[in-house]
Amino acid sequence: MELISQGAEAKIYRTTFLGKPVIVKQRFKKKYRHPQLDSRLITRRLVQEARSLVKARKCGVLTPILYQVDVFNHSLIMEDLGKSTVMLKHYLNNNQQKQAAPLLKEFGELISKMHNSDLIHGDLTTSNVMVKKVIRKKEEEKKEIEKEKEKEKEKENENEIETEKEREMEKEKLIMIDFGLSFSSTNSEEKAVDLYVLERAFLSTHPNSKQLFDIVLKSYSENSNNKQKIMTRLEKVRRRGRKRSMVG
Amino acid sequence: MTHEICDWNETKNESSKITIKFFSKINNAENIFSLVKKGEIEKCFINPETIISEEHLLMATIRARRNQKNNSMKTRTIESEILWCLSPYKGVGMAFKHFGLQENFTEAIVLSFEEQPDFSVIQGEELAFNDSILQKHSNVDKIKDIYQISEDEIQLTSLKESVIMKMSVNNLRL
Repeated sequence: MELISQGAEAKIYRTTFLGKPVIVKQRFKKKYRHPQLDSRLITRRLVQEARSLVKARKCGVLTPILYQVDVFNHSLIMEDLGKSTVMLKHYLNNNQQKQAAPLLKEFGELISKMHNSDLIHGDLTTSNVMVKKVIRKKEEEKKEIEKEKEKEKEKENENEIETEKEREMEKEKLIMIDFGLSFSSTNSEEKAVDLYVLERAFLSTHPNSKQLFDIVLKSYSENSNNKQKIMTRLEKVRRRGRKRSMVG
Repeated sequence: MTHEICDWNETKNESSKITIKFFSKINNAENIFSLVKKGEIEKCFINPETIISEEHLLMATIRARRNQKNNSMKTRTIESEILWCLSPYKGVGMAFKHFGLQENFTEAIVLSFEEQPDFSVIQGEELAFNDSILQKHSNVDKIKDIYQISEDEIQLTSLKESVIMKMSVNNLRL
């Protein structure tokens, strides 16, 4: 078991669980707080994060699989996404805008799916989205090889269609992570703030961030159920400043 | 099939041994039922209709074990705790009703924590306990209904994964 990182709220370990590689996110106790209060607080946050992960899946957003919630150790045991994934942040730094565009479009769709189900992520940044290459399983590969052999004997046109299908299967998928600050809300103000946090994140980590964020935002508004209200709110939030919510 | 299970923060020395068997064509259901009710069998009997994969059952088992270790079981024995951990319902009765022995059952998954478990009391045919057998004997519609899993969720990854995720947030006490 190795400790891979430590944030303000939790430690992240990498280990194996029931033979599987997993990531364990353990929230630690804050000794400056009253122990009973502290225990309740971290349990509540833990449960909120766990429920948000499940809710995200329910509305069609991929997340790491949550295997267990260890309430006694205030930990979440999740799937280790492994070396086949890379942060969207790194992906954008290493690829041109043209290639990244479909992923950014998908990102907008995913955020709109969450917001349509009243799920606020709370910490939308490009470090909290992972890009995964879809690896074909060995069985599928064998079938593909057999199909290819059969089709080699047939017309060239059919081979072209086959390669298109291959490309589709190798399409990259986006996986959302870190729901530590997420919560449920119908409030369009909160949703606008969620988007604003992402906009600021883009500004501070990527060059030509405006164009990148515009792709995300456009895709978001195309898929949002409450586009008008949220967009007008977003304008207001922009004028106000960082992470400023008018509510509470 | 025997497993050595241990929690994420435990070493292999602290692991527990469990034995899981799948029995089909059981002909002494009434006898087993009465023995279980009397508490004379220290094994967990699970309804195979409700189990979709090995992982599914193991996840619930390890949670039950963790509850026992922390003196925080909702039920009286670890065997019944496994059934409660499988269940998305608050009440223990519902857990037994869906995941436990059904009336006039002919198939059962039997799990034991004993060092040298004796399965001779069960008169039936033993099948292997693995994913392919479990998938054949499971009732997918029933599982989707109990865990309230929609088609969209299954499309996203698979039924196996959806069940594990749903189960992980069962009965989380605040």
